[in-house]
Amino acid sequence: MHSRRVEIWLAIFFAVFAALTAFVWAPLDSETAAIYEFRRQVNIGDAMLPMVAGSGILLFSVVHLMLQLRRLQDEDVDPPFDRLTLFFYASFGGLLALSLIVMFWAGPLALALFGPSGDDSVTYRQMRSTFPWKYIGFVLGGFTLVFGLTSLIEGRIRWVRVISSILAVLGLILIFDVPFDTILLPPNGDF
Amino acid sequence: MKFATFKSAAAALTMMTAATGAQAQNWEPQGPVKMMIAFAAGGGADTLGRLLAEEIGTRYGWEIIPENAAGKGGLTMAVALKGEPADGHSIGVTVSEATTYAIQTMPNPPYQLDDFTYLSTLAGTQMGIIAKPSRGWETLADVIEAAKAGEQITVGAMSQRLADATYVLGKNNGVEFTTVMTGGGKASLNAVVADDVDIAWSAGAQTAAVKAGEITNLASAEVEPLLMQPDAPQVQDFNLPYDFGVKFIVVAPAGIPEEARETWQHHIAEILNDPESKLAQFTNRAFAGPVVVQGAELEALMQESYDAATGLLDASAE
Amino acid sequence: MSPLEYVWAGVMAVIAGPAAFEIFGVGIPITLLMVFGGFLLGVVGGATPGLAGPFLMAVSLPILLSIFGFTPDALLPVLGFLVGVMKGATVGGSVPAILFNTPGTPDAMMTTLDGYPMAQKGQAGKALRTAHFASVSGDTFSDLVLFTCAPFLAIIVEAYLGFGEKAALIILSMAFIAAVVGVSPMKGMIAAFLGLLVASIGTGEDFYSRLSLGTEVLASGVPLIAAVMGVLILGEVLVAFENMWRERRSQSQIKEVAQSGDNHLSWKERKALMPFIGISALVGTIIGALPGIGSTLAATLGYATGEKMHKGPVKFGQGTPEGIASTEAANSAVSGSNLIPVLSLGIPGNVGAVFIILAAESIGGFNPGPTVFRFTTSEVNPELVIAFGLFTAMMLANIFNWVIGGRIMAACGIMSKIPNQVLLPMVLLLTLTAIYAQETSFVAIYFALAFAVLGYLLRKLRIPTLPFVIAFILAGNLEHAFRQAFAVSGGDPWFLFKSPMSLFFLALSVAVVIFFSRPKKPAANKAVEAERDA
Repeated sequence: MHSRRVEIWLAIFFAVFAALTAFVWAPLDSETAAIYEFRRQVNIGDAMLPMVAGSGILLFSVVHLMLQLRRLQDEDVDPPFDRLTLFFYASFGGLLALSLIVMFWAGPLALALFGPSGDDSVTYRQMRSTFPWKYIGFVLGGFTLVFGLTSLIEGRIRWVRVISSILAVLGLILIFDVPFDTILLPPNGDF
Repeated sequence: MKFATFKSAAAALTMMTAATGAQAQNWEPQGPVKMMIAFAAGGGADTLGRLLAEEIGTRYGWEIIPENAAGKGGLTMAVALKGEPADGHSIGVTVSEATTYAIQTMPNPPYQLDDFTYLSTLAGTQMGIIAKPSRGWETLADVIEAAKAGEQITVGAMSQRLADATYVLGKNNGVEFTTVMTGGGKASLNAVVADDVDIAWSAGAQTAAVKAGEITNLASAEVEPLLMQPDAPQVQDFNLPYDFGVKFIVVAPAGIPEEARETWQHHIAEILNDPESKLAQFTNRAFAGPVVVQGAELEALMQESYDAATGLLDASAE
Repeated sequence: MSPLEYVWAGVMAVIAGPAAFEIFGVGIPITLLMVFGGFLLGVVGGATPGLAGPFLMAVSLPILLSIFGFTPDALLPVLGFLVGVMKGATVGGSVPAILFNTPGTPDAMMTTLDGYPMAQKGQAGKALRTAHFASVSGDTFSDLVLFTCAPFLAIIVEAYLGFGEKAALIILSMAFIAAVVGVSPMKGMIAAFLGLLVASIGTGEDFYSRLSLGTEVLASGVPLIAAVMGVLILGEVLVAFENMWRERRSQSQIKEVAQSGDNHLSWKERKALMPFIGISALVGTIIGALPGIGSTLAATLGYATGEKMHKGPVKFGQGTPEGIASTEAANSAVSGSNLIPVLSLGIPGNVGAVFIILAAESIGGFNPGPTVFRFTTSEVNPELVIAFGLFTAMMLANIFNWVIGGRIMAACGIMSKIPNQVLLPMVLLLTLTAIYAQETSFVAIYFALAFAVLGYLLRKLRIPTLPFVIAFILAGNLEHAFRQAFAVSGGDPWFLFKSPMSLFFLALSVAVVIFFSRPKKPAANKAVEAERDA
């Protein structure tokens, strides 16, 4: 349990979100209402489940709110988030985005730069299961992610981590790609 | 089907078969082929698709990657397939009603019948209306009789089309049925066995139970008698003049290169026509054997099924 | 077929099934090989802090599906591998707990209390042997309970429950899970309903995908594997990243002590341990059969019970084999019986069972639930054969465990030396790759990351993730049962309250939530509190 203040805000957030979901989002964004009549037979419609779910969240968050308002003693707990959290996840998010962009585009980019050109030119879709093109994105993006993240957490760059990260990516290729024709490594299924 | 259509279809088919011998090998996929299956893993459509992929892989060395894009009776897959490039590298496995029925009920259908190239059928259902023999009903007539006597009859259906059909069946016979939606495959059979519903539509999963005498077909919903129980009456005899048989089909986005289309059709036909192939054996085990309809004949069949759907929908409108 | 013939067919499906290869003309069945492989992976993974059984099961799944495909023949090898992992991980978890005072899996926490002191006294070998012996005994006992109870429970459920009662039973299970997991039943219930809400996105029976906001991404719904792995595994990984980054201290290396003490475990000693193992196995089995309560609580209760029984010279907590035996028998006894709700009701009670259900659903042809145990006589019920095949695979895993489990454990000490800041980024990439292998679309990766953030937030806000995941998985069944029950009742708004049985289930649901909501005393035991507040 968090401090009383955090729990109260949490309950209020869920109550508002749930009320909006149950009474606005679910009925408006479904084809059939919670209960509808079709050819003299009454049926449960698509809006029912999300409305029930929203009402359930609403009910229990209100009860939670009341229990928390009645709670007197406050435990001494660290707040769930602080500025360090924000800083870490900002850097982590940036690193993740970079890795995914590299993973997605490195292969097609390499093919455009170094692949056959002129009359023999091919699209990445045609080469997506051909060595070496199919590995370029996964190896570069995967390495960026593993090595970058380890270095971010450790706060320093170590050569031994370069090696272990490369080994990890190669290991994944060995597990997922080499034995199977039917598995595509990221990003090759998207082309 | 009108005789004229049939004749031209047959002619086209012959021409195509003659042509494929020379042309079929001209086209090869460049890289892997994406096969989208419109139903969940483990079901009939899924097994058909995966066996087809396997056979084409071993016979022709093509790399086919099956994936399931299940949901909403084939709608999810059709939407996804429509967005794929029409280059012969993306195909779908689905049922005929996915592109003929549901779209006619929608104000803004996400696709139309002619958004796809229809490559081939694979197999057909053995659709019947089933019940437990212990209920004492022998044919659909007995059920209608019971409903007229005031008994509330619950009917399990696995698609909107069959729910609509249930309604029309009741309306045309002066009774009302209560429709309960069940899942596909064995689900409607299970619901009848567990007494959760009184009668249900079943597309062929009932075969073993019928042979064991645990389930009986009150009517055949195909245009022909059921193989497992040829003496069952036809639904058409109960003022329900439609064919409820469903075909499993292979489709591609509209406008794929002619050579790709012919090669696909050739390969699929060859595998289905080979009694030794796993695909053909599976269609014998799970359905009524392979069904090979392709080219113009298949397009005519789809159009016919589309028009029949319009008829049923008009009949079910209040 | 008669029931006995079904059992026999199940056994034969495993041992006379397709052979992987031949040794001296004798075929080695593929399922046997997969059970062994899974067991091996489970022990090694369980011995690695940072990896746990469910994670290994989750990332193996796409690989297994590629190997075996989606035919009914794939079911036994794949499920066999997964139960092998599940069993291996429970024994493996005790290795680093004993050798390095760091539990490899959360349920091995109590094993450190006596295991590490024994290792410091130079009796690590004896401690490992005790852990192995207790673990295998508890596991085997629990499996036997599963084999006998699940079919009977399933038959009763199928015979007496209609659509309405089944819907009420799903509600009861979800209420129970929500109420017992975590510190506050209210937050558990919020999590469960949130799971239902997320599951309703893009699903439903109408052709317009509800709650999709008109977007194409949401219209095809939330990819199941990406969501489950995102919340359960990646969410946990994110929390671990943050903690490691905050602490940023090099892992303090714990020195291994030279092992010179008495490291044997004689038959006499084993016999003396039996009462502790027996009681703990019973405790673990009962706890395991209830949905939502994990092996950590079973270990704690087992330890507490053992402590009360114990009258030896060395007290619990100072390095006594009885302490290890009480813990390990209890946490391993969970692994068999927690398949009871899955197989008889189709309701997964814990994370491991979630992945068994996912595997069965991905392959198809086997739908865990009461219809499995239909002993049809005129035609063969293939699902029932698979169920008994699965039981056989579990027994095989136990045999491997008895015969060589101890030796594998002893060799796994090295795994706990891999630092977490190196391992967990690899885990992240491995999970994303596994999800991609299954869904072949970057969209699935984005979904997984979005659910990772959700899992992270839930953990940080101390809202339990298990009710969310289980409600998410069961939502489809629940909605279906509701619609059917309502349709059959002819549109009666009170359809859920019409039979005494469903009334009973619903009343019990309310009672469970209220019972667990009463103010809690501070738990005497830190570990119980830790699990409760997790």
